[in-house]
Amino acid sequence: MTISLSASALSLRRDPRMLKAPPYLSFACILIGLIWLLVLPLDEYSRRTYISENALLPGQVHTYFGGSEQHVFRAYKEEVAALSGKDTHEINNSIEEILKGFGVKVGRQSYTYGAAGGAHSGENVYGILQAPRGDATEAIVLVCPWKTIDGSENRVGVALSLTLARYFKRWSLWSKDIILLFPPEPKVGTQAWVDAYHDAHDPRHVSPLPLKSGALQGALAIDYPSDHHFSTLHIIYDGVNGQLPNLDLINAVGWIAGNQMGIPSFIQGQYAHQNSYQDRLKTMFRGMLSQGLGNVAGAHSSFIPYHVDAVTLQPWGMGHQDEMAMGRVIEGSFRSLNNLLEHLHQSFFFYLLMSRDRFVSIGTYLPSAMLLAANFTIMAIFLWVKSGQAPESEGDKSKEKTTALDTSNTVERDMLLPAAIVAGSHALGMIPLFIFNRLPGDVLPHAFAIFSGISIVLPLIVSHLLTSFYKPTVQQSQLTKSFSLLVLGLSLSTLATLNFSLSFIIGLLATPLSFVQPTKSQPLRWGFAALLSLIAPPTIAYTAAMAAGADVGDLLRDASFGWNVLGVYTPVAIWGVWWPAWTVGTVNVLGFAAA
Amino acid sequence: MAPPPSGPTQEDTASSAAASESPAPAAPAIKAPPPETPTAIRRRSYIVLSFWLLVVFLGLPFWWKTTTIYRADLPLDRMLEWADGKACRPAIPIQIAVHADSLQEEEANHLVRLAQHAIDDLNDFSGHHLRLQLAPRQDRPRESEQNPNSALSIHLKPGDATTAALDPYRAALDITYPLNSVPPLHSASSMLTTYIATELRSTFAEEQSIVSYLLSSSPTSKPAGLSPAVVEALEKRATRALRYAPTYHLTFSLFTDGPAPTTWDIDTAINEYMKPLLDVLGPIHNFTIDTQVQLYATPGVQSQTLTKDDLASFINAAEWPLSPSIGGAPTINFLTFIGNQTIGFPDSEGQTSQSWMIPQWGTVYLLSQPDTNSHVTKDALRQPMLTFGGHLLTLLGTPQSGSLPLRLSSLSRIRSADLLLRASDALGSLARLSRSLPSIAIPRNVADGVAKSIRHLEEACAGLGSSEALYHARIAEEEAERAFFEKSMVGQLYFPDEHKIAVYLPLLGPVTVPLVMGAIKEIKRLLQARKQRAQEAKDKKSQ
Amino acid sequence: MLFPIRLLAVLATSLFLPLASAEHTNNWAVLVGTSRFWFNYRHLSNVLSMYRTVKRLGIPDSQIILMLPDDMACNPRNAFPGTVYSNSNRAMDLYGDNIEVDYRGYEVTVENFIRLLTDRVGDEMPRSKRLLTDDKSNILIYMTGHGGNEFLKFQDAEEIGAWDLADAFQQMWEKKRYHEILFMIDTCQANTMFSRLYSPNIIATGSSELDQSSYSHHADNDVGVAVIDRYTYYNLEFLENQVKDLSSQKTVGDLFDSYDISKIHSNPGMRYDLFPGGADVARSRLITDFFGNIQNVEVDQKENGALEEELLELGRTIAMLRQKEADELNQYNNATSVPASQPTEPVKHIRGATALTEDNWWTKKVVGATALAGCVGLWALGSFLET
Repeated sequence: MTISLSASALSLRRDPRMLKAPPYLSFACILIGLIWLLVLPLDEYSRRTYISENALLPGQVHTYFGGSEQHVFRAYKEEVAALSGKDTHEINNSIEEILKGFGVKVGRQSYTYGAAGGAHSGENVYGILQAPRGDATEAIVLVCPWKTIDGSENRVGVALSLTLARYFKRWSLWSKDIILLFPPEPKVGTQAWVDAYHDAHDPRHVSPLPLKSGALQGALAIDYPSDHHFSTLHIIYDGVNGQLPNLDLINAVGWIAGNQMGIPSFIQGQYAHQNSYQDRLKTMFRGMLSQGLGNVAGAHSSFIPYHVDAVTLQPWGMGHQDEMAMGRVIEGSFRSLNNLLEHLHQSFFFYLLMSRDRFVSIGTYLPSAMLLAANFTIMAIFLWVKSGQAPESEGDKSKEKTTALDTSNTVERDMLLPAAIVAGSHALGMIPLFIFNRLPGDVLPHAFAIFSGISIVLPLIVSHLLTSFYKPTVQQSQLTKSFSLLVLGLSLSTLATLNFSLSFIIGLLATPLSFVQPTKSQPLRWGFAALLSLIAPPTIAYTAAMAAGADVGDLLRDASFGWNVLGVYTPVAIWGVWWPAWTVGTVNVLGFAAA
Repeated sequence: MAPPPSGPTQEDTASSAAASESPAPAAPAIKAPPPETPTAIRRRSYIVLSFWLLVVFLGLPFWWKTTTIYRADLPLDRMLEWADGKACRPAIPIQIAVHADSLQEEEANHLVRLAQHAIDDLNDFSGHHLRLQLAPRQDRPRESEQNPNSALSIHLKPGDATTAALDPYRAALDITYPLNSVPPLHSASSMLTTYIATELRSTFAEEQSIVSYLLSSSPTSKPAGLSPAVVEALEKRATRALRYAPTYHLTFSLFTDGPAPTTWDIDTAINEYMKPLLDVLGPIHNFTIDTQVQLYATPGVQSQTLTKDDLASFINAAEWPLSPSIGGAPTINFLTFIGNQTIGFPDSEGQTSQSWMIPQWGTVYLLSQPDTNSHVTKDALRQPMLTFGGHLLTLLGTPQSGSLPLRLSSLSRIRSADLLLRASDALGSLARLSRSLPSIAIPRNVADGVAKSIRHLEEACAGLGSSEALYHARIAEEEAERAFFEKSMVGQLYFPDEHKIAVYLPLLGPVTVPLVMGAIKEIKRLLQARKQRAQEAKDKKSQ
Repeated sequence: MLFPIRLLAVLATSLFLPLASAEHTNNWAVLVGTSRFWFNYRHLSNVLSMYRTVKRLGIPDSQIILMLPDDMACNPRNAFPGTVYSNSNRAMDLYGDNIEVDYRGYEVTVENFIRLLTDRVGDEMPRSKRLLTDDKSNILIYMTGHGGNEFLKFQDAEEIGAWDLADAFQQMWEKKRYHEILFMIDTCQANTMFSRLYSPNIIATGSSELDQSSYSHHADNDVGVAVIDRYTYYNLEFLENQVKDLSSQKTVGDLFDSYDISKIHSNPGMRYDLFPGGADVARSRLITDFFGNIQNVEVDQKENGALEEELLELGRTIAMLRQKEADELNQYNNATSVPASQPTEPVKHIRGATALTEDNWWTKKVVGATALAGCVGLWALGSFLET
């Protein structure tokens, strides 16, 4: 029985219908991949979040922050208000004095980054509260930038941090040191500090840390500008390059805030989340977008690549919870983090959150990006096989369709030119990568505009050159496309494991590349080329900027900043994978006269 | 030239042959790879064969040797024989020397013979029998040295009446007989011999009952007609007496629930009251002594008159430091508690007591002293010390009846029998263990220990009744216990078969797959070659 | 003196001593905690509360083996340093004073536990860490931690299986190391752990059935963890309220009947089939037979004072006679002894410096050179054959 099955399977290889299937298969993959993603927010496919790490024990301790601590807080708020508008150095002096006042060791660190022509420089001040009975081998961090994410002064946050520091000093049950970090602003300062803490900093830009403690186990950042009473808590968890903290941290903080303190929490800016399908889908897409861009979302983002789980807490809305409630949330979270014996590892590191308490894990969502990448690979293999077939004359086509494929007639493939084209276009991608990361910020928009123009015209020039000098055959054009799609499929499937959202977005935007083919008629070719220009990377960039209501220049400056300061590799994916594939695809469509 | 990717490989030779016959198609001809030379094929076979030889002749034995558990050979049958009592019938012969210097030699011999018959008739337990022997005449007085082989000497002296008395200083029985009671040479029995026989029997009655009780726990001997009352008393002895150990650690403690007394004359008290006893026990046990004083030690029960139930909770085990881990010897505790409490008996009025013995543990003595005394004198310690001495003998399992030397030699014999049985038991347990747990390793020294133990057991069994029996039995028991409690014989933790698969499959799987595939390919090729040769031969024949 | 009568008298007096109610003479307790880390605080407080109970009922520390795998009292996360509580009212500190831990920290391993039970230890093991029981000892064995289907997890690193435990008990039985055992276990799926026992004289009880979890009772919100498990909590409640001292007549059956499934939230199980006489006899055993320290004492009668006096006299006389013999022997030896030699001057000796590793230096060099020469030869041979 098995022998007959295998025999029939083997004979299927020579069936002519096999060659027709791949494009449909490819299309099916894309469709399924897309639908897969869309059904994830449903109840059947997503799960409620739960605490995986037994050691966390969130919400099991009484929190005693309150009472007389409120007076201390008010005093610190006055001092912080007096510092408003002063320069970093003076602010840090005051903070250092306050911290030293209740017995915390203080260190300072200065940094200067150059990115997009502008300099980002500043000075961090931080204090280390040593655990009286601990062994100083681990530490947890409370980050409180002087400026919030949207640029205002983090007054209540800083005052609260100082009060909490003083309060924590009185307890003897810490098993880890507590580090209080006050960077001047949330994006650069934390990165400089974390890099220097792990001795991974660039000595030209960042000075080393005078004081260090043990390995960092977790971090919480406070973003609390104004002192009105709030109602909900916004948890920001996105990290650099789309890495996410362990889900248990979000679960623990959400549990403590929600179940112990009665403060509901939300994510991705969806403060009016009604738990409907649309809300969940929107949350998921916003999460995917920020993950795909990979840029910094708050003071916590820089910790995550070092495998230190971190989130930013932002009180939100008008309600009746005051700073003491926020302080208690932080105290409860720190008591939970205190219980840990090792890094959080039980829960997921790769997940998509639909709402604060619904998620899907990587095993559930990865197939969608993989299917998208697989479609390119299928097309690549299909084109390879096709290119290996003997070219038939027009007349014999109808006759030979019905007979079995004569596989002994596989032709030799001439691969030098296609490989050179693909390799060349990928190498060419280094140019925009280099340019856009080095140019000063004010020149960037103009340079980008020029580049977009060149990018549209480039395929025309290349195809003209190729057809006039090399006279490529159909087989060579097939091989070109095959190699290009192969590289695209490979890169996207690998990227899916690192940054699912980026892979998915690029894959989705590049899907037309697998279906366009060179045709005989000239107008059709031009039509295809025009359509392809719509999905060119520069075009997408302009469209995205318009849709977000931002300036393209800002987008580019952020990208340059990400690359130079934070080590974001999204530009590599765009200029090194996507744009070359698009170029080769457009060249293919335009050029390659038939043999 | 790149080979065709989607064409079948096995029909390469056939299709290339076919292609070369049919007209070449328009596309450029495919160049098939040249056929393999015979030397190449042979080389491939040799390579595959060499791998397999390596695996079979080097790998397998290596793996076998390193994963088998070393189990030394134990003489399991012999050990089980000893445990079942079949290897040795423990029989304690008691040699008794009869000194009858005032009788004629023939008369004395006759007397001894008759007495032996009488004893044998009375004895119903074969494990313990008395052997009478006439000692050679001596001209020296009675205080000469004793025959070391005999457990008891009977000194027959003429006197007024038939009396018998145990000598308190040595193991000797003085029997006086009126002159007319000597049996004539041809009589079959006589009053005197019957009397001697009954006296001897009653002297050794306790020892015999203890030994028979001991042996009754072994499967082949049965208790020889002991009455239930006696059996119960013997069980009591068994629960009370400590297990045999060559050294015991004695702890003398003074506890008081107040601040006084703080000192006591324990050193002189021990030297005067305990030392002599410990010295005479020397051949059988060694002793180390420790003393301590504890103040403010409140007992578990505070009432003035203690009942028997209170006594069990009198010792405040939670707070009193009583069991030091000094050395490897078991501890016997002798506690003196300074207080005014007494023990009352609910059923008998007026009767009180000051001390009690805790089985297998020690003794407590309540000593009352005036509160102001801060020192306990030697005289005050006299009564406690005497009690302790008596209890020590009981705790060691000494029989209660008879003179002190006789009791001690009985103890020695009883202990020899006890140790013999324990050693056999240990050997039996070891044999059963090694059979039931096939996965534990049995190192070399266990086998050595067992051999040594069996050797000493044989010697002990042969010499039961003599003084060396204790020495051999002690070594036999020690060796058997050490062999059983061998440190490295912890049973290998239970590994279900899934674990074994989970360990071996990832290790050996990737290696075996190419080997097996290679072997299969070679075998297929051989078969095909053979078929082809057969075909060619047939073709040639048919041509 | 008529010895037969004397013998009978002695035997008769011994008969007046009361009969033993059960035939054991001493009690031991083996209390094993198996989990570490702060969030397993309740397992250690389980063990410690059992420890306090058996100590209260009289078992001395020398007969208790306490195994604690982690130190909760001195854990930096403990808000009340130096203490372990089993109740959120914090009325009794279980750890504070008068505690003797025999196996602590990383010494609590499966191997050590099995060695303890089977007494397969080296000579260097101190007596306080050994289970020195005999065939007249009743043992209470209590284990708690994280468990599963026929296994119990030790220290988050290894596990003991039900078969291993059963084999260990069988070895104890073979070597007559216990009279009766009461085996209590409080883990998830605890009843599976004693399902494989096959040695006689064991009563076993566990907290939950197969596929059932055991739950904690309550948490202390200042310590921040759960402080005791349900099954142990209700056991302790019974023991503290109903078995107040050694005179209690409560039986094992009473204890088992007091289990309330609605309170324990899991099905506790018992096993009587290994006990001779089955459930009836097993349930009629007293609690104090296992948890307390029963000692059948024998009270002295006053009349025996005279006996000891005689003993002493005899002892003294015998010692005197022996001393005399020893003196005679000494005299004989002294007459033929050699006078001691003169002490000689100590000779000064300056030792030359020696190399640290001088053993087989030349041999090693020769061997190394030979190996090298051999390799070179092989290489030369190979290249010669190849050409």
